[in-house]
Amino acid sequence: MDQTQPASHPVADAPVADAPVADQSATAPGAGPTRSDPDRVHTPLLQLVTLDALDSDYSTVASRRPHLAQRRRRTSGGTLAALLAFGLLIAMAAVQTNKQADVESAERNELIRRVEAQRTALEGTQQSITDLQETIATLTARSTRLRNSLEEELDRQEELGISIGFVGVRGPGVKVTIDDAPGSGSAGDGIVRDTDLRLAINALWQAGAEAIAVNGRRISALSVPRNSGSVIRLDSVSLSPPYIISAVGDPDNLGQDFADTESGLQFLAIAQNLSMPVSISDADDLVLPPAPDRLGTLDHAVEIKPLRPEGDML
Amino acid sequence: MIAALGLLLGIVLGVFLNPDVPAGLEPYLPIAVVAALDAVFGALRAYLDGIFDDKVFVVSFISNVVVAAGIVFLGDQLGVGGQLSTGVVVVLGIRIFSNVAAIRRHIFHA
Repeated sequence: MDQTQPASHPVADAPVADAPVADQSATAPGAGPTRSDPDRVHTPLLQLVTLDALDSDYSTVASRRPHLAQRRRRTSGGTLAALLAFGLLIAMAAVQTNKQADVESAERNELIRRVEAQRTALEGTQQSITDLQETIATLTARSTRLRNSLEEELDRQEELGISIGFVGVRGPGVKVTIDDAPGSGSAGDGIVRDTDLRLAINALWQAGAEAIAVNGRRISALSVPRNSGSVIRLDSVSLSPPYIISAVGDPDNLGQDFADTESGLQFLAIAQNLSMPVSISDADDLVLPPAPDRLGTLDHAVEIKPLRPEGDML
Repeated sequence: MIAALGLLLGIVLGVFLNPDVPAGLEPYLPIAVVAALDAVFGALRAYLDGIFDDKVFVVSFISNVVVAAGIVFLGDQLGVGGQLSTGVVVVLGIRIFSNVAAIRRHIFHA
């Protein structure tokens, strides 16, 4: 009796199990008809698969019931049910694949949408970068302009500082020396007065002096020699003759122009009339100190801001 | 034939009823379809050879589907699901081709 007939063993019907089952049957003890078929063991796998394409069951059953081999029994319920199930399976697989395709398409579209969104965001960011770079360029240019302006202003401030007497200077110029008339007493015509000094100072300014000092004390916008009794005071400091007026300026022309100005002529005339000795000499290197800082503090004047260019006041 | 009508009815039911496939079985549906296809073509060839038997057909149909899905399921658990699936499809495909070739010989040379 064939105990390992493939027909009685459902698993053996499964085509994919045929090859290994055949191998196992060949070596299992007491194996059935497959054992007497060593050819199965030696045929190549592909050939085996092709040869077994049609279930050997069909031929076995047909040979066991030869008288029924010609009977058409396809219309039995089992066949119908199997075919129904087959149709159902195919339809369900097709529908599922369709749905899957929709889902995949939706996912793909979502991904595409996200990529696009990110790309747009990226463009926006790059545009921001460009804008910011432009802003940087503009601000840098403005900064450079402001720095240049600042330097100009600082230079101007320095020059102004020199002109108004609060910055020390050195340079070539002239020295105008005047002394009391010899033989004059403590009070008398021959004594140098503040007006005389002021005449000389005015003359020097008109002649183009850039800085003036009397006896080493700087003449500033707020300091002026003034008589206090018979003593000439400058910035609360007494001056004593001889009065040396140092002026920094063009050494070649300062002395000459000084003598040409109206104040200068007046000064020289007074000196001559009152016999006050005057000497004018060139100097190569004059060092004029700045006026004291305390003079620079303003008690009543208040700055008006901002000034329009060219000095117009608002 | 009534068998063909049965097949058609199954397809129509599947398309219009649209039964929901359980989520766990969804990945095995395609392989089940291929296995069923192999059984059906084998039955067709047997019918043309004159040795068709409905009981054999039903058994082979059911076992093909169950075993094919079962092998792929086992492969998924072991981590070789893709490879086993490829193997099953290859073998089933070869069998389908041979059966169809035999059917073709019957139809065009008979």
